[in-house]
Amino acid sequence: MPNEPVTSRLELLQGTLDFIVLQALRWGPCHGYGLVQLIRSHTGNVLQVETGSLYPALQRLLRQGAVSTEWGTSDNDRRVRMYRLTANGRRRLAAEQSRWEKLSQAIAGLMIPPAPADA
Amino acid sequence: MIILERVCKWLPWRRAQRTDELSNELRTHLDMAIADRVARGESPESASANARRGFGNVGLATELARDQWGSVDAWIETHVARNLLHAARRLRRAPVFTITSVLTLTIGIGACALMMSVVSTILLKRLPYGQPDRLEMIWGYYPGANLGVRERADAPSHAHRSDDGPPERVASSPE
Repeated sequence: MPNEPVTSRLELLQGTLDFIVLQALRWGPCHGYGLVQLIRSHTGNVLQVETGSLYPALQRLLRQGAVSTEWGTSDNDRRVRMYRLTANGRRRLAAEQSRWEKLSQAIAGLMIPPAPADA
Repeated sequence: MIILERVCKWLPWRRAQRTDELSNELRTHLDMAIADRVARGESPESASANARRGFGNVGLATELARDQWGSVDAWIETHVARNLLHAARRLRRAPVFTITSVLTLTIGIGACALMMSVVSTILLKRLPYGQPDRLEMIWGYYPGANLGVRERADAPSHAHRSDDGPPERVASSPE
């Protein structure tokens, strides 16, 4: 398949975004805009989730049963759709968390500077 | 037919409703972003422009989000419901063929069911008595008796053979 690398790269990105969204929802039910703000503030303005990726991710997580939604009102009385982590989502988060910890440890291991050859 | 047509109308309607909800959600998102920028001291015009720039294409975002629906209903809509509707229309356009097929199937299925119920009752099921293998049929025949008596005497009567004692009469044809 000629476009296989592209697909797997996309899956990696999607998996990362899904994980980020699930992590953010641990803080409680939240609407889409709130999620963007929460992710940005918790990552020290490093991660800026695009709306064009966030809402597809939310729909994907909804379909997979990792989140549920209900209509609610925001702090300033707007009718918003609140997303909530389901039991299924929590299980998935726990599983992916250990995977991510392993991965980041592995990369941290690679980033240790090599010892000088002749000190 | 009517139900099918309703399903075909209802599915896109349901999809349109979900799309509506989604674009409302995205518009609210944009409104909140603008409100936040205004609260931080931007002028409404530049807040709106900047928020829109940050947001990107609303239509595209909606489209992308909708792509995630797995489109089970879209699949049913395009494949199952539409084909069934097509088949129903074709059948309605050829009534002679439809009636012939329906009658053939009706009679065929009915005949099979009848045959099976007869075979099942006569050959397969056990008789509704205990120890049916020990059941005997006894025929009485009295030569010289007059017709009325003979008719009665010819009536079969079933008796149970028991190991000790006289046979036990369990049933007989009506007298």
